[in-house]
Amino acid sequence: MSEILTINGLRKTFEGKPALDDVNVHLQSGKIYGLLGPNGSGKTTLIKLINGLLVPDRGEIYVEGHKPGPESKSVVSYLPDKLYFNTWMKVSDLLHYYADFYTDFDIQRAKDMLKRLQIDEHKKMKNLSKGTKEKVQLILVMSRRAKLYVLDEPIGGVDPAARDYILETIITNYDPEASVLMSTHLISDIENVLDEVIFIRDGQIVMAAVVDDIREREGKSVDELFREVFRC
Amino acid sequence: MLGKLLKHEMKALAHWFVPLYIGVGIAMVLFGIGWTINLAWDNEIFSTIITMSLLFLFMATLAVISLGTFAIIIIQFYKTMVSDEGYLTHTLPVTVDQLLISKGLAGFIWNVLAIIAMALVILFAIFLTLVTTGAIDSNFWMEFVEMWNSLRAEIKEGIRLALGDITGSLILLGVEFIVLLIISGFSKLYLVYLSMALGQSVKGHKFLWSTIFYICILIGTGMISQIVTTVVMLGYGISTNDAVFESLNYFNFYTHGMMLTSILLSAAYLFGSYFLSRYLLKNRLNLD
Repeated sequence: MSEILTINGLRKTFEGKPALDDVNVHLQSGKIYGLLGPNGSGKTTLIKLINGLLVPDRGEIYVEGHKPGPESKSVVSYLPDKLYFNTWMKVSDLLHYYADFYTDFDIQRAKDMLKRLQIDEHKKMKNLSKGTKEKVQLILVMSRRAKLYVLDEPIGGVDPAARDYILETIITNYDPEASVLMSTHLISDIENVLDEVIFIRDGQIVMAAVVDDIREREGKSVDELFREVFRC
Repeated sequence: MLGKLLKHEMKALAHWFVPLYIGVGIAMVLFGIGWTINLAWDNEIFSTIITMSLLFLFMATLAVISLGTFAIIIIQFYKTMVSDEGYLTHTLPVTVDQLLISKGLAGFIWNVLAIIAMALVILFAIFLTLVTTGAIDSNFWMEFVEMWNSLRAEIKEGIRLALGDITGSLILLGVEFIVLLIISGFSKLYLVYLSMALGQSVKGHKFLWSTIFYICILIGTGMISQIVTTVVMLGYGISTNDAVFESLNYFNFYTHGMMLTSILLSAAYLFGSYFLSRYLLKNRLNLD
């Protein structure tokens, strides 16, 4: 099992205030990781740094040995917590856009998923509901045969039925050799799919543990442990 | 990847430009119909109103092409680079250089098309006026051919003179002019991109900040150009003594100097804005 993501001594400040401080993360391939923390704990900042959307003040990030850049972006499939499409585009335009830029994009897999969800690929994005747009975005992200999937709040703001579909999509579509890093504060919904968890608070990693260990040693669910660690 | 970026950029811009040019086409049809009605109607007041309206339509069409092109290029850059769409753009497996070059090339191509469109609109208006006022009759085309033939002879003579010019001054002037057009076309675009790269680095009100930075850049570059041009002109004044007047064609000497100054200034703005934008997007990217 190789290390897909290495983060050492990471620090990021906004207007002098630290959003992340001395963060160290090591992700192995073939596992699903939960990045768990309350709102404002630094989850999105960490994810943006991994994807090269922010530049750290200090520390190092390596994805498969590459600093954030074209090489790392070609192996990371990123789902942000917002919609990033041109609304005038048709769903089929987006499929071709992805296929053009990402050599690991499996267009047939995307078409199959769209069909299963009865999303018409000839429709323009602006004519789709917000929920359907989010599903299209998730389908595109999960149709890449990436080495690392970084998903920022993939189930935030969707109804419970859609959450099940999203989680199922993630589990059934990621390559067993690939890793998934998923941020959320809705722990009970995802804890059954996680291999390991990383708890983050006030920009610092407060705990990193294997989910089975938490259950066996602590005799608690991840949700219970989270409530205990982050009790106000 | 640059080719793919350029392809998608041209496509995205076409999404805005195609309706704009359809609008221009409709405006020209209306212009033609209005002009024809105007001539058929024998009423002075009505004719004045129509003429003024058509003049307004003509000017508005040119303004829409010019300002619309500028606005579309700005909006496209802002949307895809520093707003939510930036999350997709900046996670593509491409370099910041490839992004900036593709944006600059696509913007430049659409700007050239806008210049061609404006020239066509002006030619159409002239042609229509000539046809409807009866200036174009059976003799017109004969006269036109004659005029063209003599013009062609003049051009040939001009080229012969230019080629025979021992200093190569006229050819050089033509080349300088084309180079200046290209470089200043790109530098204007990249100065706008720089203002947005600066604006996105500020927290909140990014578009407002981009506009403020653009105004500051315009004032700053305007002042620099003014100072440099004045210094160069003064330099020419000092160095231009009687001997220079006698030994060189002063017009050529002065014109080439000013052309070269303008080219160097535009090139400095282009490289400065490109590398500063590159630095900001690479090291100070700050998407909300």
